[in-house]
Amino acid sequence: MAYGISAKNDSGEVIIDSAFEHYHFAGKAGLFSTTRVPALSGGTDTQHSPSSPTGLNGSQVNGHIFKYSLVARANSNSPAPMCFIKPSSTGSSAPYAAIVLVERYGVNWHIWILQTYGYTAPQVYCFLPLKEMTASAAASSDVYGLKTYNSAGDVTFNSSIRPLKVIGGGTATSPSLAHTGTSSGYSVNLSVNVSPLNFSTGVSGTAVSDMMYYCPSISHSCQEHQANSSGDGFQAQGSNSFFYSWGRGDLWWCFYRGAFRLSSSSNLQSSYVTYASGHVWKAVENTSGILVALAAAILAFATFGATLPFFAIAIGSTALTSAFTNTGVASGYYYPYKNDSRNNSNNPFMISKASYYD
Amino acid sequence: MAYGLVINNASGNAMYSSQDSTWTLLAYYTTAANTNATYTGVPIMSSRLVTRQMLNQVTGDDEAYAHSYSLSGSTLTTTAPSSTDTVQTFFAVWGK
Repeated sequence: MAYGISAKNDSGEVIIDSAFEHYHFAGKAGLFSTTRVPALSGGTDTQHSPSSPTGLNGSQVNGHIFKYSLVARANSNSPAPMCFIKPSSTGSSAPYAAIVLVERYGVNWHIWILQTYGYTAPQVYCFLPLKEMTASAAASSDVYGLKTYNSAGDVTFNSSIRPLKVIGGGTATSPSLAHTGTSSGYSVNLSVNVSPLNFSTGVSGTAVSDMMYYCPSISHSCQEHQANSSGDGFQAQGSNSFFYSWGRGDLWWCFYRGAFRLSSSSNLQSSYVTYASGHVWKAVENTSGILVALAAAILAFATFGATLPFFAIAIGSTALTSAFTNTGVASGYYYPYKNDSRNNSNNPFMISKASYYD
Repeated sequence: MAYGLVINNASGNAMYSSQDSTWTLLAYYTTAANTNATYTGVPIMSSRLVTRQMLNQVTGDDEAYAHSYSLSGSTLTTTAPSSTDTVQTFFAVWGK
């Protein structure tokens, strides 16, 4: 190179390059909102309900969404912040948490973390290139250390702004499905029950309570359960008496996002947190015969393509919009596919220490 | 250490040491939604990992694929699995 500085490790590999805009500590993101996706429920007819409960199982709870803001100097070409989660607790009973959304909001960044319902919000330590930070975040009164510039005159490395320092890492995957086993009839609980996967952090000699991880959620999964029932009867009303048949179809579903926890200093666990869930049904009654009625009821759920229009009928666009009012979450059915997952492989993660930046 | 760099602050505390960072950030890129992109000049180290982060997408009613990738030598190739449902993806390449 014609000018600048290049620092190498014992293997001769470049670790500081003045031409490269290194990430530095930009501050902790501020929590400004806590919300959840509302449970969705609706049907075309309440008649012929089974005696057993048909709603959402009480233990099937959507996770908390914590919304954070990072003050920055972002524009449309800015690289995204790298945000490490410092969990509120660790161990085999700790909640799972992961970043499910990073988006630019004016010159700032918004970060959403999905976490198992019922736990304290984690802390979020954020890193950016120096020129993406606010002037105050990128300033230091410390006149010692090393500061490098690129050819444009931008500061690319500044030891006094606490460069990102990683102490471990590895490659995680997510379970292929969030829920295993089958539900029977109308007793439905699609809560996450899959065994977590374990991955070595490569960290030793550091307290797990001081550790934080960068492992954005890219995996998601969607599962459903269907139940069908039918019957017939006789309606006595004099000369207008008639036989009738009825059919009913129910569908429950959950949409999950991949999430993680530190079970120990040496182990990261991967599982899912329920992001959205719901239940819809359709009941049909006619005098044409029981098979016709049942077929009409379950046709709405027979295929993935048929289900989506039925959601709109069962829940209704007005009710859907109303359910999401004041939640701060985009309305939707959260049913992008069924009984499958996406992006569940090859999810590398990095580990750092919060005490470096406190 | 024989090679490397230690940088202290005014108090004499190490703010940076080339020895105590196990993974070093080598490069980062953002690939737009539903497109493919190839990046060259990625520094080479004996071990490398590529982290991915979906941007501007919380995943609702579409399939929300993250880009897949391959890293070979100094070239990172990012590929959209779907031409309509692949989200903007931020890649960071780490080495040690």
